[in-house]
Amino acid sequence: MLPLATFDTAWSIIARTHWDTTYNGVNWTALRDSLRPRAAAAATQGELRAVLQAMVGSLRQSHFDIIPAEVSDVAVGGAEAVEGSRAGQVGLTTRWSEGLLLVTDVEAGSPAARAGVQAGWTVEQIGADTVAARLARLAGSTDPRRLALSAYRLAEGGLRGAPGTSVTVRFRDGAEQAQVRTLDRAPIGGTEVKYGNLPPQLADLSWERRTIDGRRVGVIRFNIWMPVLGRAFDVAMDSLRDSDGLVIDIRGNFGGVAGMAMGIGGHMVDSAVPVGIMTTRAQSMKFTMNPRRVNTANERVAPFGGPVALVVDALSVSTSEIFAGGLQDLSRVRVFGEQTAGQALPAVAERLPNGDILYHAIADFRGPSGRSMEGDGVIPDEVVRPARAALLRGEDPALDRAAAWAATAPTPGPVTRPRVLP
Amino acid sequence: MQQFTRVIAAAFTVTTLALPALAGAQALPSVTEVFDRHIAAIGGREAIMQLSSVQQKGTMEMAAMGISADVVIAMAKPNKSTMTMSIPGLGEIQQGFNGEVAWGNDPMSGPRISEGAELEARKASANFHESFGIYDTEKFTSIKVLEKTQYGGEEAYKVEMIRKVGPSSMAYFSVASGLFIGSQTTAVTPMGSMEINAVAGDYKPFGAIKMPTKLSQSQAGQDIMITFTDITFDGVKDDAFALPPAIQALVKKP
Repeated sequence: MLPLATFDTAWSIIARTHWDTTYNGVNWTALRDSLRPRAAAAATQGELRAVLQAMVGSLRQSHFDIIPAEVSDVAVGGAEAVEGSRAGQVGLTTRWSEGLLLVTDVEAGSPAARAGVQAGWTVEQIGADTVAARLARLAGSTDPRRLALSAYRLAEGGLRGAPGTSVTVRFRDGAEQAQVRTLDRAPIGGTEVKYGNLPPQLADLSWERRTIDGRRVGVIRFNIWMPVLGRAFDVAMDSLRDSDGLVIDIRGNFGGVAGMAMGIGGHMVDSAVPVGIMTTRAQSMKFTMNPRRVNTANERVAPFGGPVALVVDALSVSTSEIFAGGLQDLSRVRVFGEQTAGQALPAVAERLPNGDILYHAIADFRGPSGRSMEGDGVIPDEVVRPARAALLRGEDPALDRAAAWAATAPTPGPVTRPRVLP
Repeated sequence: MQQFTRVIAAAFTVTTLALPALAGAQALPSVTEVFDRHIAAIGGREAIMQLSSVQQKGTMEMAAMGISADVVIAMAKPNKSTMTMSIPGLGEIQQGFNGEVAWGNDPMSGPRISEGAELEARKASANFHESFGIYDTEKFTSIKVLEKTQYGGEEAYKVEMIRKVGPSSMAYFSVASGLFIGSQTTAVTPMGSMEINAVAGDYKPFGAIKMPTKLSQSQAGQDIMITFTDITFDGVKDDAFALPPAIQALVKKP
């Protein structure tokens, strides 16, 4: 009975909460009738999950997923190799670009850095998995953004593991020579946080100041929209408030708590304007940014008024897209990098009778211009892709371009009124 | 007491004029009768009017999402209030009103003070004794008993309460017990108007006063359950309503 109760619960939740009563063109009742017998016959969790995935997948919308209980219920500090949690890591960032799985960053002091791995190397094999060859076969047959996401997942799936274990990786260096390294996995940086039914997440924020031709540019990067980082962002803003320009790097930021966009955005606007509007079946809610007029020392300050550049890529997802698209609509930022994932629907994570989590979107979201970031994502004002040659020279093309712009761009006019939203 | 009488008298007049047919058909009680039954059921007007403050401690749960929090709410005469909600993985959500300044602070949005229509709504609905069912007549255009209906799983009198300023609401009172059992309100928030459906229940005595210990709310499609485990009266100190330093900075003119 549990499989059937789980199926019926999941179906009913979506029937009750999907904001679009046409269910994106899916006959929701007919779908239940066709899948329910398969759920009733499911003899294993795997078989049931396949039916549930078929149900949510039929909607062809982002933020519909089944999260297995063993993934969602990992306690903070757990040692299991779970995506997004404090699994052991080797300290590499990879991206699919130019038909290659590129190392785009090596964290200082990490096992990869100690082993001499460098940005611009390509990853060819992780353990026994010839991941690069597998991805190359997919190229051209799928949306490049999906390929980027698949590449990330494949790479992370192989590179992460229990702390204390190791993985052997075959790279190709800048001289096209094969380089084989056995890399230890270790807990790296950040704060582990568990929010509700979502699996534990590693939250990390860093900032730096660059000087470009005598102009000061602050750079803030963070990997997830979790409130635990709100204070860290405030501290970074206090340190960078006197900058001539600001760059916010949200590449590889998969989203998080959507409400964070109101507080982070509030550091860059001087009036309470919405970054977008969320519409559930019952009502609409404006995501009104809160102009941040107090610093962390509780002194009155003005929100940052200088130019702001955002850096995004195909792994900038959900709240990252809400934030980037909303501020782009308001002409408050200039966006650099690559087209974002196009997965930007507000969602919640609810427990099902079998213990799994139904992750499901509950609302449409549109930016101030009225456009949805679901599907198309955010198109950068300046498209800048990772380039192997530049990475090998120690450059970060998108970030460097954004910083150069922020250093010299004129101070923008005040953001006073969204173009479409009331 | 006099204020209360004025509210009821005004409301009854409007009810009589607006619903002549229903008055006879359904034999509805007057607003006075509905409110008086509730007030008597929780401890009586005299006991309520002697109260100067209340503190409620408990937990908030959004069970479906796996989110739970500790909640502390304090209120004091004539119109002060503060609430702190501590949510693991999110942090502390705070709200307050000191009679003049309505404010909020949370790790997502940062500190803010209410302005415009939101502030007016907060001011209009802030009243210590309203929490116990004793209303200020000056704040309402009308109060009507509309009908006998079902609410929160029981038969209830539906009372429409139209404020002169701020959010109006429908209040529901149990036909069986006389107790207030819930409301439907349109709250004015920074995110716009928001429908809030609340069901109150599981009344328990805390000294001379009975208070609901369960409050379920439906907001934006999400169900929230607040359970109060500790309610105390007249022990809240005035500094509980002092503005936090970040809010003080916001209030200061630059």
